[in-house]
Amino acid sequence: MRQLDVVAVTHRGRARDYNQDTVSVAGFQSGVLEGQPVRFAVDPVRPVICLVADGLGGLAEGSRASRLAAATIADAAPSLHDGRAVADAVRAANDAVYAEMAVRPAWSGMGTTIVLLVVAGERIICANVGDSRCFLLRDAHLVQLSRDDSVVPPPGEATVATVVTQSLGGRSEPTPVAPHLIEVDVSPGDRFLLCSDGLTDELEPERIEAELVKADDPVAAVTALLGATLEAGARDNVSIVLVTVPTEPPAEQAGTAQEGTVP
Amino acid sequence: MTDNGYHAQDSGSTGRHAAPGTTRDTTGAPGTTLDATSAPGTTLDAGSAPGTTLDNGSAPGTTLDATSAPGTTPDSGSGLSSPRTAGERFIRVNLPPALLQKYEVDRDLGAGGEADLLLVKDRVSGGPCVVRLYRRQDLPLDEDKLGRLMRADRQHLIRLLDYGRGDGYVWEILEYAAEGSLEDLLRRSPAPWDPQQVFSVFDQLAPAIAYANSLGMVHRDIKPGNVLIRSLLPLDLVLADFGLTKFIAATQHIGTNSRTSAYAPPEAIGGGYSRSSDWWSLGMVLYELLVGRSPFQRLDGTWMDDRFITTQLISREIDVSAVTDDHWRLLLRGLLTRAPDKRWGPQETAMWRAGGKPAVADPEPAQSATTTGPASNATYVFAGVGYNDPVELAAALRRDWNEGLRVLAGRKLKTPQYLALKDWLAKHQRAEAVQALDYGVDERPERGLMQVAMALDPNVVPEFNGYHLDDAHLRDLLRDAVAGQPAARQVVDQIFADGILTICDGTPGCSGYAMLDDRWHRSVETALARIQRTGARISDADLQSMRLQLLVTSYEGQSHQFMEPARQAALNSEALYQPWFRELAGEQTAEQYQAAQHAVIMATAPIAERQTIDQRAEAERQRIAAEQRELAERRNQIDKWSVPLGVICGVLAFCVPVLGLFSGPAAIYLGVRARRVSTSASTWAIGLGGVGTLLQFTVLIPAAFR
Repeated sequence: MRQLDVVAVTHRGRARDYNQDTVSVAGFQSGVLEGQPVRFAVDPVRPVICLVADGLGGLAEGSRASRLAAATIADAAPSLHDGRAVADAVRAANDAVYAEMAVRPAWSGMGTTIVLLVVAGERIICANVGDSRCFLLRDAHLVQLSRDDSVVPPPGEATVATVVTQSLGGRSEPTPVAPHLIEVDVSPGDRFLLCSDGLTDELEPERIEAELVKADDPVAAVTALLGATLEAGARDNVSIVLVTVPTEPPAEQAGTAQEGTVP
Repeated sequence: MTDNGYHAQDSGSTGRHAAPGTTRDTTGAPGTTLDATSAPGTTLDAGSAPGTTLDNGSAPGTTLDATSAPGTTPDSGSGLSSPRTAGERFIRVNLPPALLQKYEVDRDLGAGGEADLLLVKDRVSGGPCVVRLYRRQDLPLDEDKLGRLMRADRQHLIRLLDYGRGDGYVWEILEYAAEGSLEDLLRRSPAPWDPQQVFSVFDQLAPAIAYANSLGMVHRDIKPGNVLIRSLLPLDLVLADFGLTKFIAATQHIGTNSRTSAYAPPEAIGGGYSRSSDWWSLGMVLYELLVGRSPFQRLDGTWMDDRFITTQLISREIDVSAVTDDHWRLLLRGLLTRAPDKRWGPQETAMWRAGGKPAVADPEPAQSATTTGPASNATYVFAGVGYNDPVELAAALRRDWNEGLRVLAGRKLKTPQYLALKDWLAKHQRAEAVQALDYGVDERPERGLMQVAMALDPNVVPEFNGYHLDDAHLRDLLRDAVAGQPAARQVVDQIFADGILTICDGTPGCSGYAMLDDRWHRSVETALARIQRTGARISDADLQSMRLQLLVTSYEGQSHQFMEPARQAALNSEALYQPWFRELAGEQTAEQYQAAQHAVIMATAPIAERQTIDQRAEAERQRIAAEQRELAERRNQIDKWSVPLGVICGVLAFCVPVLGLFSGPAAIYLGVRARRVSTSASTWAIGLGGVGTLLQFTVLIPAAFR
């Protein structure tokens, strides 16, 4: 497989003055206040991890949890060849968050969601805890791969967006997590979108699908999604990671060389 | 279609439902058997002309003696045979030398795409048998299976006497069943039969299938045409077509022929055969004997088309309510159980025969399938909202069509949302919806979604991507499409491609849609095949218009709607310059294909006209080019002659007084012309002419007049 094209961005949105989200692509981690889309070209010779973690809670500890979880999982990258290893890594991140909590009483209860995508050879493993989502855009349909840990609403009522049923950390006592896993065979041209609920709460899937389909360039797609979210109010932190699986070779080889430079 | 002439009877029945003057085969390629039997011009009427001649008119190699009895059937002794004409004895195929030593050819029994079938006489014993010759040598032979077949109990299976290969052929020598096939018998004495008679068929077939299965063989293609009759009194039936053919059948898709798919079990659509497949087929055969026609046969005896049969097999139970006798109905429910592992097999049928009542997996539908199951309180979250009422979810699916498609698109990936939906449907006992998910979604997602929504709430007007499809709305949609609204046109296209109208049949506001859809598809296919034969290339927009037009004409009583415009189009004098269009415009078509013919004429007339205009313009261009060529040629000639003439004139200007006064300028003119041919000669002529003229003035003329 040729190089993966990954574009990532994180942004505090328009209502919060801190950013508790963390994005990480192949070990490069960011939680800046107002990021700009950054483009990576990653050679998937070893398992590549892209992830979005959405720190929970109104205090700064949310970002601590998300950074910690992201770093813990990214460190496990070389061993993540199968679903079990991925699930173990997520559990390890959960343990790490609880261990960190024990350091200071003030950090008690910090937590984070996580959604990660591991590209291991021709397989893609997606795992999530919480309500950050992973979508696959294939054949112009946006299919959700992750499973939201949201409270099932009573019939006829809408899901309450702010409540998750499980997270990494998030409670005062160490609690095990059961990550949702799904494995998918990669096909050329697949696009995977990882995002925090800051995106999906503002934009309907229909809109996200449309923006992705019409954009001719991953950076343009991410920029458009971020722009649309900010326009819609961006009441929460927004993080977007768009992973594009290259189409089969004789696609233009020159393009790859250019993509090698990070703008 | 069939792979060999052994199935000659198939083509007969195909011919019966595909009326003359049309071809249902959209590829329309001559060389396929189906085409040969139903292609325009090759009028076959199997019902009325049994035992007539080979259809020599159709393409070689595809000729099926559609009307002859099945391969192993003689004319003698069969009540419906008429005297054979000399053509029947026409033998196109010679036996390979190895066989010729042992057998003498008696008669050609027909041919299929892969094999020829000959009735031969054993030179030693004088007994008749049948040779099936495959026109290829590379067929793999399953020696083990063939050996088993040869040793098989001849009570149940048609005898395989010998097989072999050589000289570019593979052959089978088969027993000759003197009374033809069950299908012939059905033609002679049409069903419904008396239950006692059906019992005697059952008593022959059920043990035969059980026996074949016990040998580890699945027939896969049990149908009346493959059940041969050794004797009528007492009835002695054997299963035929077990042997070598299967190797060919395995490489061919079932379903190219209604007569095969009409007897095939639902699992065969996906290629999944098992022992229980044959029991389903038995059920279908018995149904036909008891009711008088197959569930896939219309009241007039014609067969439904394949696509429709497949749809039905996928989405519906076979309704056995037409069988009035309780005991027989129990048997058919057992045999026609959709789940292969729950279908009745040898034990259950034997129990049933002994008067027992084995359990049937599926409950007999009480009155309608739309009874609401016991409410489950499971909630499914669709587009962020919780649902536990199928009817409400159906409404949500219709409302948020694209979200529904996104959920179904997760089927192959087994996404959580998709699995949750399926799980929820199962909890709410929506078996039909689950089936729609399982079978309908991959190929045609929108149709699958629609089927799911319809299965959840069958009591509302079906809706396709926001468009209501009841009669009034469909007509509105059609009107909009005809008026040229792009969205409406596109929806009609989707409805056509996905066969949406068929699945709406019988829902509120949608009566008679299966027939409508069938007529529509049929006429479009007919039109496309006819257009393909003309060789005209039609733009997509025109095809779209044609489909619309044919939907209009598919409505009851509307088939002549476009007679007048078509007549006008056929009068287009420019178009009539094209021979193919002349032929098309002059063609007489059967009543039911006239609408298609009209559409074809209307669609192709502008093309023919354009061709004529183009041809005229081309001719004109060529004429002008020829003229210009001729002119240039002439000029060239003159230029060529200018060379010597110019030089001569130049010399004259030098030498001859007075005359030189004229020949000098002439030499200059000719010299200029000659320049294109020879530069040096031209220079000389111009020079001589010029200097000569000057000389004339200065020297020669004064000298001459001095």
